[in-house]
Amino acid sequence: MFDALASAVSSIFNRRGSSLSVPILDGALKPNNLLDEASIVVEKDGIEDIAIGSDGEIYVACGNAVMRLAASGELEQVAQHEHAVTALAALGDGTLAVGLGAKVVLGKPGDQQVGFDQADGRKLNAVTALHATADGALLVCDASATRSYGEWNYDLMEKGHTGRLVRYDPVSGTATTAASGLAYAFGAFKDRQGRILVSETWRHQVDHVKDGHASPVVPALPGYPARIAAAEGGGFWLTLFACRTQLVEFVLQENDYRHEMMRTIEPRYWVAPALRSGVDFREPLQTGGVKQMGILKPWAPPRSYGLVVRFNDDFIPIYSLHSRVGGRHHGIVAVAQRGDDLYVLSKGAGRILRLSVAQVEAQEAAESGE
Amino acid sequence: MKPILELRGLTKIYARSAAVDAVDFALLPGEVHALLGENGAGKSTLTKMIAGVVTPTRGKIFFDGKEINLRAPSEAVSAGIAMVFQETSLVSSMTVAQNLFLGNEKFFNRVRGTNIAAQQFMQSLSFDVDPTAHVGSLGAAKKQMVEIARAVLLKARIIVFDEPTATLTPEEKGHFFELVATLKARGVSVIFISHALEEALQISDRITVLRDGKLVVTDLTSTFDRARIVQAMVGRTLSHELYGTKKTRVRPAGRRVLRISNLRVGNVVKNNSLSVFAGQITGIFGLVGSGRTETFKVVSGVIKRDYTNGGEVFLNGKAVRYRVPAPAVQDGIAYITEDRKIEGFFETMSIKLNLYVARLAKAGLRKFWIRNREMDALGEKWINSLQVRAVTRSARVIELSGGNQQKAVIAKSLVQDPELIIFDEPTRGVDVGAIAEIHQIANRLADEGKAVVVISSYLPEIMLLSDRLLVARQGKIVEEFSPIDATEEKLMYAAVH
Repeated sequence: MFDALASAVSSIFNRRGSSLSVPILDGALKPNNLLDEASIVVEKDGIEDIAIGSDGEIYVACGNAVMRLAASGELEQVAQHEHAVTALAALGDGTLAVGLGAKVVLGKPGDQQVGFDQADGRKLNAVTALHATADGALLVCDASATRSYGEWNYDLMEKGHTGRLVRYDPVSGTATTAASGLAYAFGAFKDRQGRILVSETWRHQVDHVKDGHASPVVPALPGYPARIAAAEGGGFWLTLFACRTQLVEFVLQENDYRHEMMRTIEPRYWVAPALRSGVDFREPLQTGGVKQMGILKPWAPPRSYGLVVRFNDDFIPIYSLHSRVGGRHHGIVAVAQRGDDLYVLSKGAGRILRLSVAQVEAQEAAESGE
Repeated sequence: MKPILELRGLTKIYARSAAVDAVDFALLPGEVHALLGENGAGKSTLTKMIAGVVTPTRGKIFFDGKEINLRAPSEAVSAGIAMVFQETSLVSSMTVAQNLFLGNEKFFNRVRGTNIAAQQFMQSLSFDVDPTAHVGSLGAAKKQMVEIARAVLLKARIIVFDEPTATLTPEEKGHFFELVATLKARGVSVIFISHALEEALQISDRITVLRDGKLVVTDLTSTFDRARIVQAMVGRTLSHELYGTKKTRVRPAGRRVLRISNLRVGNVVKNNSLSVFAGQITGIFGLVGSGRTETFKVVSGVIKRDYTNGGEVFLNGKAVRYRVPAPAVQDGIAYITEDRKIEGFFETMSIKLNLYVARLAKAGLRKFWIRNREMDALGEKWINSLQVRAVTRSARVIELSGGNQQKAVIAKSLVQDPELIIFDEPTRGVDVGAIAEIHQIANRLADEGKAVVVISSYLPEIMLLSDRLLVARQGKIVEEFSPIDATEEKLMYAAVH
């Protein structure tokens, strides 16, 4: 009787109270060190997104520039913009779509650029991801209507849910809203079956967008999902830029504490997920990340983490790549596959990593005896 | 040497079927004699006749050369024969100390004095059990320790141990073997029933194998190996030893059926988190007291998690908190208990009635409409499907052997067509033939796409069955392994350290 009453009261106030919990990394998400063992292709501060062009070239968004990754591992600038590049996609005809925070521009490198900055009469505000679909359209994630891309942690702490997914048709030049009310749209993807997916970061889920509605197909993720990319052979890669912790979930329930924290403390020291950690003693401790016998426990609940998950066409995770608490490659926000090579962008470390998909899958197969 | 106990032509007939058939048996002073056989071979019936629990139909018992006629367990105890039962016979509402001295109390009993005496006695046996704890609050292993201690306290000349090590941890087993050696040195004779053949080979002086109520062979332990014992027990050569092979392939995970997050139950389950996926067997290994059973009892509504800081349980993505098992059954959760006699079935009911009761539990309003024809068909189907061997179709569950009782418990859960099946120590006290059949059932369920959980303390079993291996320690899952690269050493290390 007490249980039922307490549950009813909790539900009225939208609080799960002390039963607050977060999903764990197990099954296909069992931790490993694959991201830390990957080879480092690029090391540069400010890298943001990565895309494979129709010509097979790898393009990287870095600061205000779009760069091409040469075979030697050097970055060569192909375009310079007046604002920081926040998202990048390559269309089938060689056109690059570039998100510049509050607008998107399209054009081949060196050519005249066309662009748009609104959809259905509402201005774009925080373009976080772009995805070119097979039918030539462009999916645009406008993460928040109130906060810019750089203020993503404000949007989390304000429990923002003003994000939307926009579909842009380059032929007609029209941009329409495919879904709205999203709690930070940070990745879009149209799969082989024609299903449009969007990652809703603050709701820790990936949604299927249909007829203007978004319904979860990958719910209860253990981290904050970011950009999505196609996987060769079907399915997709999902990046998660940090893992959830009970502490952050708790802070999100404590309104007074949270508001005071936002008012009085610098954002990089908030009790909030981070793209990297351990660089400043004033940061909140990696919760539970206590050093024992001189070793940071790699299984400790993380403030920052590196995670990429491979899903199949049925939205079931098959395997995952990790950089654990003690690792270096945290804050994974983008991934792209070219043949056997998987390029992973660690924004926290400012690095692009390369892994062999065949080797990763062989390792997974060995574990399952296939 | 003159035997301390001799049985001549001992026979017990139930419903015109001989459970024990003309068995001749001799036990020497200071001897550890292992009694082996499949479930239903007649071991328990034979030892119950020795302990005065069951009266023989024919035959004679000689103790110290004199014929005795035991009509009650108290007479056997007076004669110097004690039995430690497979399923505990302690009074759960009394404390450990009270149970130890039950029947031997002084006229005036000081609680403190009784507790101190019990504490000293338990310590002398290296058993870590609190004498002031109520037996009902103890786990199966600790209850077993109290049973053993009580038999030793009675200064018996013959002690019959029926599956004494089934619930003990490896460390506790070591203590138990030392205890047996001490008893032997004191001249006490021990009859030791076990399904763990290695244990019989390790601690016994002689081995007797029974099959279908008849004595097959008695010989010195040094003349036996595992293959000879199995051959004698089952009357057939198993194509491969049950646990001889290592798993070479695992089933891929399907969708996540169960998610447990930060679960807490008293001081037994501490912040435990795990997932269970469809189409797979998830094996949970851990030592006794690691919180495995309690975690899944919460999932199935047998016990409740803490309300404050109790964590969450999600079934197919939906948060659930069952206060009783009925809604869990309705939602497709089947928990197959480790303690089948207490929690598994209605022992005086027939198999088919037990199965029908289980079906009715999921039948909603229709549960008030009992149809005999449906019950008969249900019983027939599952008795055949799981090959439950009973003297008659209407046999009561209590009359079945341990292995067949276990199959009846499994059938009772499967009639509910569950989506998540939790096997808790599924082969404890079950013979090798039935073990293989129970393993087949678990594998078949996983192949059908069900989410299967197997909780086991027996490493070879958990490694052979599981597609994922989770190790529990001190109330939570501490490590996950693939059975392909797991070894017994790795699992035990994770469970202990």
